[in-house]
Amino acid sequence: MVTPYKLTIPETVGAVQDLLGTMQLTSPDFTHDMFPGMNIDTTFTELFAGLDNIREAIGGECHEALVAMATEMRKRFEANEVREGNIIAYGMQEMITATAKSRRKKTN
Amino acid sequence: MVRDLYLGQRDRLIDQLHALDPNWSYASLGEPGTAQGRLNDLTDLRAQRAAMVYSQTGDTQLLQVETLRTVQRFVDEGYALGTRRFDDGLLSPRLNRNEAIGNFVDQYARQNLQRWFNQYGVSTGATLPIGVNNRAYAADGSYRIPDLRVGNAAFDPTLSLKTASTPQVQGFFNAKFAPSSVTIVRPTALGGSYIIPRPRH
Repeated sequence: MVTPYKLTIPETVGAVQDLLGTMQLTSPDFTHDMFPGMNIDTTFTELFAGLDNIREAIGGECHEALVAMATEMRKRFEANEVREGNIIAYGMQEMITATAKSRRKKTN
Repeated sequence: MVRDLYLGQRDRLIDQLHALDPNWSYASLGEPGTAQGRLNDLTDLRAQRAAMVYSQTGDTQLLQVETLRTVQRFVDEGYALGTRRFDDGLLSPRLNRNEAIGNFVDQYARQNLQRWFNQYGVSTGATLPIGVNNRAYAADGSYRIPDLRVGNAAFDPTLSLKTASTPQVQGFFNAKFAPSSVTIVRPTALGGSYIIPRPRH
């Protein structure tokens, strides 16, 4: 039996981006035979916890918008609407990139 | 015959794991019924052995071997999934197909490597011997971000052909962790991976 899956919570903006990119390749089931027990529930648990971890970097307003988008994305994947869910995931990546960049500019 | 090979390798790995940690136990629901299941079983045991040696001794050599095997698998999977999904119109449209697929391969490889290290209890971070997507500083304060660093080896999942004169690769060699090699991990479908040894000056 392969070692059971442990939740991997993203801690940085880059790690959230990696999770969102990976989700677009593995939706709507989010399974992998090397990670038994990984599924849509574990993946969205990781995503929401990751968004909380980067809240300071992206700001409360952006965080709120991303949480709403993630909630909608999950609904799409549960309805097996892979393309629509993936478009939301990509939109989240673009929003994170743009927000993180503009906040860095303001700080500098 | 194949089953005998599997059983022989499995038992040898189990003996080695027991020798490293007498309290270690083999969690099994029984012998896998498929070739893929047997392969996954051996891959898992090898990863457990590498992680255990690293945690007990700090030696990263076995972990480097298992990491290369694993990152190659993730790069191949990411490339196959990214290509198929892009061509099937399941991804948001992008201007540049190759660049988009390359980004997906990077993200998929890093994400699953982070999961893999986490699964085997291997901590990662900028100040630790193992790093995923962490800054690697040079003596002059500049930095590069290798996708993956295990001990004194850097790994770069990519679709591109890179050489020792590629600025990014030079930057890895200039970093304080002074890699002895940079492994360019390319999809098998594009020709596969190769190692760039540290240049002699």
